[in-house]
Amino acid sequence: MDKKVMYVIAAVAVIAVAAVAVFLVMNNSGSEDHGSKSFEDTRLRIYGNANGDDQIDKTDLNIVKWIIDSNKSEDVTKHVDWEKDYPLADANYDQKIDDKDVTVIQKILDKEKTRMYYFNKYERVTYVNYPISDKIGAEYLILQLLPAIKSYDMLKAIDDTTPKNYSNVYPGVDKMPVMGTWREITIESLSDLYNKGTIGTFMQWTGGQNVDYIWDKAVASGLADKMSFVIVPCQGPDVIQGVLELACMLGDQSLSDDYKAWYDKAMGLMDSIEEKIGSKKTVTAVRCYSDKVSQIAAFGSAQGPALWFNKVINFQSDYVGKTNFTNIGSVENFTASATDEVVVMFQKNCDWKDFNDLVEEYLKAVYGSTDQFKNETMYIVDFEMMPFAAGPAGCYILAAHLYPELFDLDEALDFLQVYLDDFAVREGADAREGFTYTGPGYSK
Amino acid sequence: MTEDRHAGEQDYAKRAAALWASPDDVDALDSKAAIKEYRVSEIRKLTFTFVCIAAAVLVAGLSITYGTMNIGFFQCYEIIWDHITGNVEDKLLDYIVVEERLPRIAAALITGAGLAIAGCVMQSVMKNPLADPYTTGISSGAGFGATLAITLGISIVGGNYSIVVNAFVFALIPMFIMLGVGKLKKASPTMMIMAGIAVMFIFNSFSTVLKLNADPDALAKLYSWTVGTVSDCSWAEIPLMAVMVIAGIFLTQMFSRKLNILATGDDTAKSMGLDVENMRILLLLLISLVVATVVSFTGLIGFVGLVAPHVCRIFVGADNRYLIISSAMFGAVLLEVADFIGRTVIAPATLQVGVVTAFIGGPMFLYLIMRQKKSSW
Repeated sequence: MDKKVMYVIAAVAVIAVAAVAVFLVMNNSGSEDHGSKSFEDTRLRIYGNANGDDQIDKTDLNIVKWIIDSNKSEDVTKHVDWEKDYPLADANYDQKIDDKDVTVIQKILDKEKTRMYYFNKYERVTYVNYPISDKIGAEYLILQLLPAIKSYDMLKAIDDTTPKNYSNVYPGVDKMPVMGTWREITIESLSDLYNKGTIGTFMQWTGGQNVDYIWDKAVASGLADKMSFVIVPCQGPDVIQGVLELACMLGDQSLSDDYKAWYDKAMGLMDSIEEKIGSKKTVTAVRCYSDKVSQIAAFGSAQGPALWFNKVINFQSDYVGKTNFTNIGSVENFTASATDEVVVMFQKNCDWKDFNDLVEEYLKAVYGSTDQFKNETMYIVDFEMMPFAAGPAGCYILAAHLYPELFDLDEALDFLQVYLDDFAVREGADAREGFTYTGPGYSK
Repeated sequence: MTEDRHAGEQDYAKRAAALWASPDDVDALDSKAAIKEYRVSEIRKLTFTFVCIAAAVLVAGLSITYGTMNIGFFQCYEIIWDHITGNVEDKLLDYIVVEERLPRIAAALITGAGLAIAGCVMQSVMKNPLADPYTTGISSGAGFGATLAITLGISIVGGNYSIVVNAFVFALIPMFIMLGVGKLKKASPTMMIMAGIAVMFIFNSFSTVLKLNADPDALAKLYSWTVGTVSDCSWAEIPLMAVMVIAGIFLTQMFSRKLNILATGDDTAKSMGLDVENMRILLLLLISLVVATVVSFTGLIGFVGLVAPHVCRIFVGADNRYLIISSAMFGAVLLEVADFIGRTVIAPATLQVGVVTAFIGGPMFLYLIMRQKKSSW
């Protein structure tokens, strides 16, 4: 037989086998290997995401059908322990798997109205009215999730603190209707904006030490049945949960695809640090928001703004697990306790073009006499960028400073530029002129 | 000059007549005048007390009907009536009026009354016009308890009540120290209040250490609690607060005559058969329980405890039989008005009630003391 014909037959056979395999995986409800993730590893913690991957799709529907069929069997050994293996399969959250769960997932796939349950930031199961309204009121910096899914124009109302602090960063927030005082927003003020048609979704600030202060009131008042309350993570590496869940709740999971790819690229690189060099460096992390020495303070590893640091450094034992700052307060104490290399989160709100100048001024005033300053081993990233959705870029940049043998700083800055161009509302912003120190050398 | 001379002549005529009158007639004339003066004074005190009570009812009644949502005056009362009779038509409006506005108003009235009687009793017992929950360390103790819970997560109980329980327990510590000093050393009121101030500084320094190292987010939360707010109070907390404050008003009113005796000075009070030390301890313990209860739910609301009794003293004098109840009502009105202003002036954002009390209480107090021109309180 002609060799070419054989190759063609072989290729067709391979393609056919692959296609059948894919078909079986997608549709064979009798299969017992559905590759479910553990709940801890699940990033889309929405009920209906039966296999725990990053989207709700037909696979989840098939898993639920398979569980129903399996559990009907008289052979107990074929029964599926869905509570253990597929905890998110219970789409309507009624503690049983039946046709109603299939209906809910089908409605999610068809973008039809249904109640969507999810595991919120405060580890409670709450719900939204799927698909959630795209008229969104965001409390404080959870608004960062909106540009991450390229939907900043959905922002229609804000709390009273954000315009005061960030009107230079987020366009239009100073002209938006105010929902109320940060962390004290009331059902009455939300109802008012809902009745006026201004908002249909409220995103609660979940960073720092905020608490779940509004959900119970939303349920008791019945407002949770009218508008949606989105209470998802927005700080540290868990920000990916917030992004994936928000897009899913909006009924367009593709909105999160680009950010997810960008995030996963950086996190893959960070995860490789330990594989390649054994362990991460132990490094002091401090904040800088004043030109006064008395304000030198070290981050704790469990502090909201510092959560990303854990991806690139090990904290000194004194700061492990701490949710608060440790006041260092003098050059003497800093010299005695700080590591040779130091990461600095610059917490002074300024225009990005002024960033390098301000960093030079403050570092010289506070750390001018230290070895770390003279050796230029203080690596600076901006608070505006680091704690939230831009965290992967901050990690990448710090990793390039700390592990130059593994990472290239130029690539890291390009990576930040992608964030600024695609996932932030920073028209014209240049990664090499702000957000992280790129000056000629602060000790000069 | 002519008028002065005329008045002088009348006075002279009266005294001349009195010279010729019998001693019984003189006594009768003096008694009549005294009785008349006493009655006028009593009517004035009662009138002021009733005005305060009426103002509390009026302000509460009006503020229920005003908020961010445009709910009509009569509609509000219909909603409350429907809620009472179980005919709730609109669950959301019912929630806004009954679960958001009403408990807030109730909490403001109760807290204002509680803080005011605390200030009133402390000022009388300590014989010090500056005595209030702040200067006796109660607020500092509560503040330290809350700081522990917010910044370090250290609390006596977990969950939603971690701050409340911490604040309550730590609020009582300064009072016990103060009472201990008083009992052990048979100390004077001045020494007790100085002990309270010392404890206040100790707790404040502990709190400051924790704040210095706190996360900015925790600091913001702590600051919000420190300034004081009634917006977090719900019906779950109101009964406890109400029972403590009403019991406090009732009991201190019961002891008002003894408070009057105590206010005359320790030696005089003892000569009149009063157990001065134990009475002082009893009263301070009573009002410290009241204050600890309210501040643990509302945070530290300053000024009401200091100002309310002083303002009332201008109208009803130092007689605790009237001063306690009128201070309670005036404190309730003051805090309710402050909360109303706080939630409407920059609505839908809010100003903390503690800020507003200082804003309106400070100038009002200054104006009144300037008008009063008293050399001492």
